[in-house]
This record gives sequence, C-alpha cells and structure tokens, in this order.
Amino acid sequence: MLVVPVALLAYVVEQVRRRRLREDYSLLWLATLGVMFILSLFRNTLLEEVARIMGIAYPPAAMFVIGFGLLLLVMLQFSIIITRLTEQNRQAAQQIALLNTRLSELEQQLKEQAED
Amino acid sequence: MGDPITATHANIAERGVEREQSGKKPLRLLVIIPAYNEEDSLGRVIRHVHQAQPDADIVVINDGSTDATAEIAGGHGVSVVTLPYNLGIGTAMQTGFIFARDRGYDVAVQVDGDGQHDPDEIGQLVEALEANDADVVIGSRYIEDRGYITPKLRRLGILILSGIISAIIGQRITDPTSGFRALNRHAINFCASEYPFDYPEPESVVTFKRAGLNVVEIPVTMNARYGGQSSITPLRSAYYMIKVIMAILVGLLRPASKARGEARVVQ
Repeated sequence: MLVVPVALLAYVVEQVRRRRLREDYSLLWLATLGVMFILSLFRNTLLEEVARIMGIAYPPAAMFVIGFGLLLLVMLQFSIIITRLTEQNRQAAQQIALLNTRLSELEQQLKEQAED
Repeated sequence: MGDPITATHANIAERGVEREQSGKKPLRLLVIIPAYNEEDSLGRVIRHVHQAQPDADIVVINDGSTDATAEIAGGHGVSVVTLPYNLGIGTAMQTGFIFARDRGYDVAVQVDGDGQHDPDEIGQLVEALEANDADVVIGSRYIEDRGYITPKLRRLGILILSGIISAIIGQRITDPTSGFRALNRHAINFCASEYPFDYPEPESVVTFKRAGLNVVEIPVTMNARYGGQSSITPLRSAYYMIKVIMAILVGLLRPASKARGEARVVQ
C-alpha cells in the first residue's frame, strides 16, 4: 500500500527535475500523493481517526473519499488551465491571421512600387 | 496586450482622425464577412455587397475553411484574413472588429457569407445608426413579417431567448440571433476587446447594453441560404439554447465593462 504513493511521488519529482512538469502544476499532485502517503503510513492511527471523524466505518474507504476529492481538485485545475490556454491560443491565432494579411498587403505594395 | 498591428496602422488611423476634424467626411465603411466553408455562396455575396456598397471595403474572415473559400475571396480582390484553424463565428467576428478598429473604420457591418443577409439593406442599417443615435443596429426578421419562414422549433427557441434577453436589458429585442448588424466606432472598439466566442449574437446584445451601448433593431428581409450547410442542427440547437442562456446568466455575475474609457453620455 505504501509503495504506490512513494513511487508516484518520486515520479512527479523526477518530472519536475527534468522540467517536463512545471512546479506550479505539480503542487496539487504532490499534495495529493503526500496525503495518500501519510494516510497509508499511519493507517492504524491517523487513518482510523480520520475515518471516525468522517463517520466512515471502514477506514480504507475514507482514503478513497479523500483521494477522490483531491483528484477532483486536480481536474478542476486542468480545466482552468485549459481555459486559459484556449484564450491565449485564440488571441495568438487572431494576431497571426491579421499579421499575415498585413504582410501580403505590404508585399503587394512593394511589388507595385518595384514595377513603377 | 502589446498590439503590433495597432502601431502598423497608426498612419491609417490618423488619416481617419484628420477627416473627422475637417468636418463633413464620408463614412469609412467596412463590411465584415465571416466565412467557414462557404465556397458555394461567398462569391455571390461579395459581388452583391460590391454592387450595393461600391465605396465600402470588404474583409472576409476565413475561419479555417477547408474548401476554396480563401481562393474565392482572394479572387474577388477583397481583403482576406485567414485564421489558421476553425475558431468559431465569435472569434472570427472579433478578428474582423480588430481589423476594423486598427484601420480606423467608422462603421462595420456584419454580413454572413451564406447569403442569408441582403446587402441591399446594408445602407438602411448604417443610416439607422445615425438616425437613432445608436451604437449597434440589428437587422431583425421578426419586426415585420416579410415572409421569412423559420422552422417552428427554432422560432420557439428564438422567442424564449428574446424573452429572456428583453427582460434582462429592459428593451424589446425581437431577433437576438440575427448576425446582420451595423456597429459604430464605440461598438467596434468594444467588440475588438471583448466579444463572446461560441454563439456570440444573443450574448453580445446583453453585453452591449451593459456596456452602455445603445442597441436598436430595424426590420430586414432575410433569404434562405444560397448554399452550404447551416451550422445549426437539431441536437446542436438544444445545446445552443442551454449554452447561451447559461452564458448570459453567468455574464450577469461579472462586473459590466464600459464601452469606452468613460461611460456613454446619455442624452
């Protein structure tokens, strides 16, 4: 049970080290995996206590609920980032299109001047 | 945002200002034709606009078409702005408004590339801007019955939208989905910086009013499409309605942006 979060934590850190994952985007992942790791480490004390507070009779189920909640946050973050990228992409495409038009106009003008 | 195009066109914009200062000046009119795969109808639309408004400049916003739309537009000697991929009518129109703003046009008219709008009526839209002291004039199919036949379900959808929008802005709007519109400089500047992207027409009516722009509807005649495919299918219509209503309602939660640095002076 401990191996999976540890391996994933190491994997995320390695991706950040190689600059394949940005630090800010890795934070939620690290938090999620960190919480999973701590809950598995102290499954006989902390996890049982947390499950009791949450009113869940079977402690491992509490871990699923917490993990699910954290993953929801990760996905929400994705949606927000995608929205921002879409907006930036839209503006970039508009500028490229307008500059292209301007460029061909200028080329046309130059050609006409050269012909005169 | 840094805008290299504005700088490039500073000279053109200045000429517009000079003309304004010298008193009487002819309006610089730009007809914006958004076109996505409209090779069947675009040529006819362009020729008709030329014939109806010989002094107007035309720009075709080619929204990533995969057919001969770009070639047809280029072959007619009008300006063509080709988006690198399909980005939707709202983004295409906003590109046109940026084009109009950067080149200092006084009035921009949207005419769809499918031939639904009658270029002979562009003049009426433009005149209605000045006559009503309006910033935006919308050509409506539903003020007068001029024989335009709308499928029943779509008519119902438009009625619902029109009811919601009219209630929100406190002004009766009969055809909020109409894309046949004329905009003055204030409206052009506003749309160049802020324009809804997905199904922009109904939503923009609300943002116009909230920005303090004066919106007026006049009756127009619309034709059936010349060719091509309407982008509206039954399934999309349902999505369309939900999306537009949601967008309008969520939009109300945002602070209203002003159309200019200062609020429009209301007489």
